[in-house]
Amino acid sequence: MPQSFDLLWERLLRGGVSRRHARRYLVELGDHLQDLVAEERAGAEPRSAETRALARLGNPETLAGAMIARRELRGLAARAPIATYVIAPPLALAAGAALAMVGIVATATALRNGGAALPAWTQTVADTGVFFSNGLLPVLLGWTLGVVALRQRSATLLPVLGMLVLAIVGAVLQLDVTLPSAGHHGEIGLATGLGPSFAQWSGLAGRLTLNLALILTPYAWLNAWRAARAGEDRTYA
Amino acid sequence: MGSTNPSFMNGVPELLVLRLLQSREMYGYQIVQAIRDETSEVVSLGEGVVYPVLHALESSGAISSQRRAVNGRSRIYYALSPQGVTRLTELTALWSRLTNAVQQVLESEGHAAIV
Repeated sequence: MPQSFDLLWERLLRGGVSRRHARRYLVELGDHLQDLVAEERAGAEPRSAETRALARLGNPETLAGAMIARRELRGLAARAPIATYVIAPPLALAAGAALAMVGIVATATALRNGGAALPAWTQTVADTGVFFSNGLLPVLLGWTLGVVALRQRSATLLPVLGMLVLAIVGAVLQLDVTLPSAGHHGEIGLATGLGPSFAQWSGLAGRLTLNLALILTPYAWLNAWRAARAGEDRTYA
Repeated sequence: MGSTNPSFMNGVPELLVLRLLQSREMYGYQIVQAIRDETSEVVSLGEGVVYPVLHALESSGAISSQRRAVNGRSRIYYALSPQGVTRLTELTALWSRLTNAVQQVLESEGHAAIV
């Protein structure tokens, strides 16, 4: 596969072409090139067959332009970048928190059928659900967002904005669970965690800082690494 | 057709590809060769740019693709779908109207006198 195909791959992704279409395009171009080389080798001057075959196939800019011009071949992140990077992740976070709530309520209701006392391990299940919703989910969604952005070679603005929104929503929305005990009803709720006290605000600031650090650091590092590698490739090319 | 007029050439690659696939399944290289042969090299597509046309037609449901191993090589064959038959009928009718209109202009007396 000629080196120009690597450049074409990068150009297609940066142009917003979906990875599925870009990958198949390169496979088909590689097959087509083999056929052209075989055809040219059978001709009068076999020595420069590959050069002529590449010229017939088209230069990387033309090949990329023909694909990028087709809007229907673009990936979701290119067709709807704001929805993908800024709107969908907080919605997914809210959906995840709702699922965790449903799971905890269903478990507690099933176990407390008839007013029996809950087994001790139920507290562990509830704590795990709360940790997943409040701590793990925003970070996992932030990493997913970063991976999507890096794989699609998206510009950094919208992914970073999406990560900021996700970190803030993740820090503000807090799942709170109190399991029922003898003589007391249980409580479960999704609250903002905001309040008048200094402790609440400092807790919010701590969660926000942690979310930002855990979500943004890997993305920033991988983005810098990819940019450095792209620079090296250009130097050697 | 050395250079192409985008507005006039709009839909022509699609029309040719659909028409060729109506007779049999083909992979990209065969399609490009067939276009060249059957138009006596008057229409010569940039060879690689036939694939975006094929991908777009497949996205719209006009054609379907299937990977097959032939003589030790894996090939992606394209075939016309029922929606493709409808699309081909529409494009053929459109092209006929366009060529008839151009022909009328070329054959009209007023313009013949100028030429």
